[in-house]
Amino acid sequence: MLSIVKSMALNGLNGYLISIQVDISNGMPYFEIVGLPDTSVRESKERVKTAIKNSNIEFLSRRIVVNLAPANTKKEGSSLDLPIAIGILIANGVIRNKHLESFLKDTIFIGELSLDGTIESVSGILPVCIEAKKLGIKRIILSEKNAKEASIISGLDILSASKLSEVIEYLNGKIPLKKEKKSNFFVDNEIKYEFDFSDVKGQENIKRALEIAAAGGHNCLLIGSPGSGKTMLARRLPSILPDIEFEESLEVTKIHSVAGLVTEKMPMILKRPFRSPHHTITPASLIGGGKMPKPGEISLAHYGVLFLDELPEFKKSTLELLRGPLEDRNVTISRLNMAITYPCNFMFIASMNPCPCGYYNCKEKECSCTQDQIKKYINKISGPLLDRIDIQIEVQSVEYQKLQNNKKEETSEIIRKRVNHARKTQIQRYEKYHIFSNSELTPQLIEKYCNIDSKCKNILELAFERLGLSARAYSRILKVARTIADLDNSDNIETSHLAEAIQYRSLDRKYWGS
Amino acid sequence: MLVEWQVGIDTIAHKTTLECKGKTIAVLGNGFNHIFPKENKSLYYDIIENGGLIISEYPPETKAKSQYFIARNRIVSGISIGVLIVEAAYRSGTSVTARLATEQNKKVFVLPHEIDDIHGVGTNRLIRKGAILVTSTKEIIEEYEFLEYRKVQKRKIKNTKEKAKEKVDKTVSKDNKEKNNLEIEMQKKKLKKEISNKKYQEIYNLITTQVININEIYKKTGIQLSEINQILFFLEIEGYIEKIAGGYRCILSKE
Repeated sequence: MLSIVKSMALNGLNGYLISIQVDISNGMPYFEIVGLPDTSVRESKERVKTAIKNSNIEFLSRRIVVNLAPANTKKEGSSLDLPIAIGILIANGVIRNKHLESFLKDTIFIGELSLDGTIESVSGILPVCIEAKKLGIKRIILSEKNAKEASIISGLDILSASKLSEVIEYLNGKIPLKKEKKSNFFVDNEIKYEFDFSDVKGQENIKRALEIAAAGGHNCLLIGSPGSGKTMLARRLPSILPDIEFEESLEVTKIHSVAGLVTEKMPMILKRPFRSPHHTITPASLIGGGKMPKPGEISLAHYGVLFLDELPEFKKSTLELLRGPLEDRNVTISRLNMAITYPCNFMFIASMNPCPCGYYNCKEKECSCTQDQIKKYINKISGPLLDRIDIQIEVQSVEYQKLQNNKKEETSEIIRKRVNHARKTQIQRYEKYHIFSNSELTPQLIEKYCNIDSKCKNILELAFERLGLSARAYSRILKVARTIADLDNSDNIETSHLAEAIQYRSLDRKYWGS
Repeated sequence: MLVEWQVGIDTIAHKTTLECKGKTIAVLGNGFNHIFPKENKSLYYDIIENGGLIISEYPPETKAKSQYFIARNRIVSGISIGVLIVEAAYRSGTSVTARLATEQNKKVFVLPHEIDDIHGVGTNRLIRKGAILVTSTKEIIEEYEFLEYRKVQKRKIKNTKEKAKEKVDKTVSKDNKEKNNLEIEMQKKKLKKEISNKKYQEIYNLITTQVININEIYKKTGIQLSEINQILFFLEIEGYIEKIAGGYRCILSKE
């Protein structure tokens, strides 16, 4: 007898429908799965067999053929265990119901089986649900542990079960399954941040620079000696990032779900992500990769921050990969079987020492590097990459006396309020162009929105002439000045905004390593 | 102008002299066929083209060795009328040059340093031993009766600064250019006026020859950071202070 059960799998961030066709006929005992299964799908044979046996149902020794359609797409993962088991049980007559056929048409099953018949959670539930809703599927049957994540999407019946036997009884019309209510993580949860800017004594200028970076989504490079607090400051950045919007949160959750990074308890990502990979990271894990390409760190940092500590320690080849994604804000990973595009609209924050020994221009310790070594060290970061960094600022270490100072520092919450306000102004201004921040401005838009009057132009000219700024700093300065003006509630860029923006171009100055 | 041939202050001295249309003599610690350090190759030819001189006591194929550099210092001091020591750590090569110069009866000029500055240990010691302490070029020239003090104009060289300027210029239409130049003049005057403002004075007074960090200025004055940034910027383009890695310091001579 033949049965057809529906399930879904993922291709990058998008789900697609799979129909699982099971045929059981007389003949020599045989069990085969066809339709390009990978090893994890092929192994599901054993899991399904044992799970059915341990649910007190006899697994008939007959000829069983399972086909996963579309048969020309590679399938992977363990999420097809449940639908295969259900397909077999329908085909051999254990599940019998008058309305079964119409019921199965708009139902999808998804879940991994363990040997005792427990239904386990799988990754990528959220994108599956989003796609299922689009395709007009009415209900989804899955593991209890995945129910919360699925309930983010409204308009689908989320039916959860813990055991295979429960699903069998439900399909036979004996018991109802638990229906998960739509959850409202986005509204209900108060967001707490691990670190707060009030922990940082002094460093006012860096705080200000990071505030500007957060408000305009500008990429930022912190340069300073060991122990000056670069990492400490950068780790506190998430607490002043503008609040995440629901649509953004959904997209971030999708990516994290595909990567298997959402938890049962908190299935929705409500904070802007902050990723800080170690410098030994491989190119594939940074931009994404694998036989079935998985999102890399840059995609996991989508709508959030990618922080690279000790930038020159990263392999040059790895760093250069960032150039494209930083500009396009998405990355396409091509493999033999498929090309997948993941979004990666992230803010790039990096930190580095000024020289190999780390103490160039440090007050406490003498630098032991030669000018040549310093130049070489700085040159490890290529020009094109530096070109994409709007704000470059030096971090100076704070003296011990200042650390002892009990003066209250500004909390992240206050800073975040200002950032939120500035970001809202930007979103409204660029509504037509589908961009969210000043950092995304194209040359045409810079001309339109970063207009400066003749007074400012003169100042800028003077600055270029006297300070020896490099020409490529021009548009960067305008973008940052625009953000400073937004923070200042000013419609136009004033000279003061421009003057401050120029101060954030440390590396353009001629003094560095020359 | 006569300078030894090395990276750092030596290169700067050569370049500045060339910019001021001066002639320099470079003394090598190696043969002519090995230009060391390599990045000074263009400077090497510039010196000759400008009527300067390059001297070496070694055969053309000799490679650079550290002991040669110390040895060539005796030629440097020998053919000069005086030696200016800008920085010298304790027991450094520069101290050797100073010693040689005194032995050769040449005048030794020294820039004073703070007592705790490790780059100044050698120079301060030289002052104690009787070297001539100088704080400006004028003071050096006054030491020699046959020299006369006059200001030199820096020659303009085409570099990134100008390219940047061109880019800014592009945004200004051509008709406006003349008017624009006038405006710049006005702007400069206005800036000067603004700089006499009280806050400017307050901040400027804090900046000495010792590098000061912007956070320290903030702590001492309590003025908003954005405003401090603006003030520092204007002070800088007006040439009162300079930004170096680590912070700001004031420019010494205002002659």
